[in-house]
Amino acid sequence: MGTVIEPDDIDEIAAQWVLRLDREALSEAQQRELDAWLEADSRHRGAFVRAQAMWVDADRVAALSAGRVQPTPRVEPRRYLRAAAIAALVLAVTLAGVRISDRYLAGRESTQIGEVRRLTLDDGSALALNTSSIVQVKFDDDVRRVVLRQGEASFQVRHEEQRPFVVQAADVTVRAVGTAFTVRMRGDDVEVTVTEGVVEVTRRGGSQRIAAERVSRNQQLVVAEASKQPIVVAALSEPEISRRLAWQEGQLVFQGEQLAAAVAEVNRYSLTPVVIDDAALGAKSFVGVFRIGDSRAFAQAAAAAFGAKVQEADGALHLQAPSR
Amino acid sequence: MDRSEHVRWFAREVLPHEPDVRRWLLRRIRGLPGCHVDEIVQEAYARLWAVGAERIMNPRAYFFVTARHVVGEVLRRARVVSIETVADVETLDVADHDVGPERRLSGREEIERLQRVLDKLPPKCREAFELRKFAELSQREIAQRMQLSESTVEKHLVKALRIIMRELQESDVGADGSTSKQHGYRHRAR
Repeated sequence: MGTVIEPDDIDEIAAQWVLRLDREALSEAQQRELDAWLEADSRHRGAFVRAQAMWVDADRVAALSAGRVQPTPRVEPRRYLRAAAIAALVLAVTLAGVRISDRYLAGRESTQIGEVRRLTLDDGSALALNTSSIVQVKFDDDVRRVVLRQGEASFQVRHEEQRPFVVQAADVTVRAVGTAFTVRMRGDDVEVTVTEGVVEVTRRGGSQRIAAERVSRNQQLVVAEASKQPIVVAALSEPEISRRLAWQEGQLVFQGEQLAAAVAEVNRYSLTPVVIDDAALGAKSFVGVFRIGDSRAFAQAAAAAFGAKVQEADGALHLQAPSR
Repeated sequence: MDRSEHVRWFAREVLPHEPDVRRWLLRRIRGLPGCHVDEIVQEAYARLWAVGAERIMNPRAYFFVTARHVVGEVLRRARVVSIETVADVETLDVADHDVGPERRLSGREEIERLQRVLDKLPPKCREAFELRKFAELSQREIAQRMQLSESTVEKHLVKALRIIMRELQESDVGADGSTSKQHGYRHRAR
């Protein structure tokens, strides 16, 4: 790995070789060419065997389908498939609800430090509650309302034309019809990150009401309490959004952050905080993936990476520069 | 086991797990630099091939573990400094817990998938593919039947195979998959 050739090009060449072999025995020169190509890169070998397996597998499926595959394009199969896809979706949602929590959410829900919980609201919307967070849910006939009291929550909103989904965090209101977004209270600031669709954010500031701001997919809006410029919208790349929402998978992903910033994030999830005793150490940048809540593993990995040591004292994990 | 048997073993024992491995990889490497799912899958196939079928008792688990190793190596290379990843720290329970129940397609679903592929093929390409796979004609016979050169038939079949390959690649980001990919609500809570 590491050359500039795209995986897709490799697949194309692999497919060409598979069909050349399917056509006739290779000449000596062709065989040498194939061998050289396979020898050049392990990805070539992988792509080649994968393409061959798929070509062979088509025989089996063709035999299986004898007489049942339509020789000419028709409309019905597609329609049928779409219905099947919807059924699969419904099933998946149902399974998720059952596996994650055996009950529907009503009223107040909270998570402990280091806990991430997924819940299904009784309209079918899904909610993921990050560490140390509190929400209150109140659904009426004309509005589905969730109040975020503390922490961070992601919402996957089931579309309902007649009943908007409204999340309130301090004086900030986020309104959606059917979409996915995350709201985080960070000190006095409120961050809204949208991963699907569009939401409308408004803020009540005493008597004045700041105009609604629309936030769409892969955008983040920050409503900073102290700032004169109250609302900031920034576009985020898809990988960056994924990275920030990795907590939903129980992970923390760092990509070139300084250790000090990463530690602040790690400590959100742990009762045993990591403390950096050496400023130079805090300024080191790194890349890594960690399981949420395991600050000890993080401290040990960081110590190993930067030649530091971990000293446990007063219920905290101190990262110390090595003694010289 | 000769090469063609080995390839059939791959088709039977490895291929069906690829969509799950891809789904798992997407979650595992989200946002990380230098990690490309297609590349990791290619690399994993190469390693599974090199090990040989006889030594792999549980192909599904082996596939996952291999993909995990490849990710680990890519991460180590891409990293500013080396730090153990979750993937390295975690125990080898991927096949049991991390990927959910096995979702091998039923025969009916496989046929539907083939139908979906056929519907995507341009007419000539589709005809050549059907003659090869359903009528079991050789490429030369197809060329005679369709009055095309053999190399044109070969090109049509390459195209058909590429569409089959892509179909499998995309089966993890289908209509319902996109939601789970972004938010993972279908995954269990830890």
